[in-house]
Amino acid sequence: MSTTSGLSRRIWSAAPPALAALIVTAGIAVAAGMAGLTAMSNNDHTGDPVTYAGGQSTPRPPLASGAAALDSAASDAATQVMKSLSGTPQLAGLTTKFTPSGLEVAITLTHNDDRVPDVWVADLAVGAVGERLRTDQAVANDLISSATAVGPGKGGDPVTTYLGVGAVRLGQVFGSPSDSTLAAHVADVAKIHGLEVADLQILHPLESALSVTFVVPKGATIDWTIDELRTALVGQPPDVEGVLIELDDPDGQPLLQSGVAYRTGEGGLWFAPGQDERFGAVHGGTPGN
Amino acid sequence: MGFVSRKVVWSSVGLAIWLVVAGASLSPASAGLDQDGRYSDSSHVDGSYARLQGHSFNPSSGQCVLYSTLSYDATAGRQVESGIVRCSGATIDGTCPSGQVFVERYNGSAYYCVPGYSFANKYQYDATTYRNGSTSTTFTGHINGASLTQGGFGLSDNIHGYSWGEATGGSTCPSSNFGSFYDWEKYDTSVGWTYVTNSHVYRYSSSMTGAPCWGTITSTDSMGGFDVDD
Repeated sequence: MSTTSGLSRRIWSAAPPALAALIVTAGIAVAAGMAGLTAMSNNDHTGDPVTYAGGQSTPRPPLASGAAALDSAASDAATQVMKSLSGTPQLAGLTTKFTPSGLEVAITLTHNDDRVPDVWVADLAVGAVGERLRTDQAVANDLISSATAVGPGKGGDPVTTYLGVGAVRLGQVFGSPSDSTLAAHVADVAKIHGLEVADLQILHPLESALSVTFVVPKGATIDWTIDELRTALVGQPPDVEGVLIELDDPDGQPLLQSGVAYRTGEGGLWFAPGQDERFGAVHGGTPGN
Repeated sequence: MGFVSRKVVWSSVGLAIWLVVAGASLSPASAGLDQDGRYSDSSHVDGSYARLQGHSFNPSSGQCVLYSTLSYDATAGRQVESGIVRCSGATIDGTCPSGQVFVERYNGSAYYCVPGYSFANKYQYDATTYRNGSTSTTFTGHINGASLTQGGFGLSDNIHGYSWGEATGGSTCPSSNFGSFYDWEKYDTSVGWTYVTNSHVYRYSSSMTGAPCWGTITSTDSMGGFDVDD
């Protein structure tokens, strides 16, 4: 039995006046967008943004006014982020530009196949530059209107990735511990989960970010999920601003890659056939997958 | 220090001890999947829109339950999906948390998710996935503060719009689940937005006890709306 029509009427009538007005406004906006084939977004921004970190810093004073001053601030932020990620050879360039719709960030990568590690590195840079340029904006996509990563793919042609910037609170403070503490913790987590650490990199976009490659021993019994492994690594709330986990077989072939950038909120997941089920990796599916 | 790289190999004795100690508190990994909803009869869809309402979710452990609308190119293997999700001990793609709206894209091999603002079960949320021109190969998804764009969609293609309830992760259907899709519409760049009046029931399930998780998929009303219910 269809309950759609009746439910719809009940919900609309039950909505508080302010919210009802908001819904009506949003509906009009969507209808107008449909009529004009543009502006499809019902970007009404109701509800709470996402906060990953346990700490929060206060808003910063406004940047100096004027186009030249804004461009200078944006350029300085890009330079600082490139310097802080200088140990990441894949990151070749970062440009920023204030436009009427917001901050546009363009990342250049030495190679880009829209793979999880490619997107993760770019996301870290976008999150760091946004954090450096924030003033009184509440969330990342209030400040950053667009972000892209471009680099040559396997065939040599440029590949463009449209990076996601979510409704993630700005000013997050992760309280990252020292590199030596992080490295020791990664080793402990590996031991508990029956893994071997093949590679560990600690990046410092602003605070710290972990990139870890684990080897899954042959015949290992997996009695944890990738979400549980990630939480064991970075804690809840996370003490780093990003984490990239790669699980390899003993021959070094990747089984699963999971990357999260907590300043922009974008996460990526790749897995070899059947490995999503093996490691309990939850994703929205394509039809039948 | 900006960069640390090291290789570590642990002793098998120490590892065995840790596994014995830790194993008792760890749960088995599993990732079942169930999808119940409708897809457009048209295979030339340039967008899909629905006003979503998740009346109940109740995910089991390690599971997310979502209600969403999406555009899926079966030829190119590309998808953009906008929806609402609640999870228990899990996230979508490691980042999109329970209680927030989300947009996810699929590029043929990897999934990417970005979260928007939180949602409430008693309200409805506009979810869209669409391309803005007949020559565009990129689709963009939007919903309440979340946007994501995926390239590589085909022009002479095999693209359907879907709206569904989905249980992903875990191995048991959620205990009680009910979602509504109001004003489900498809976009054709040469026609505009029209209600999805011709659609088919879609069901898929794998490794999910109790499937189908949404046993009832209602007929569409005059504006494309329908419900999924357990």
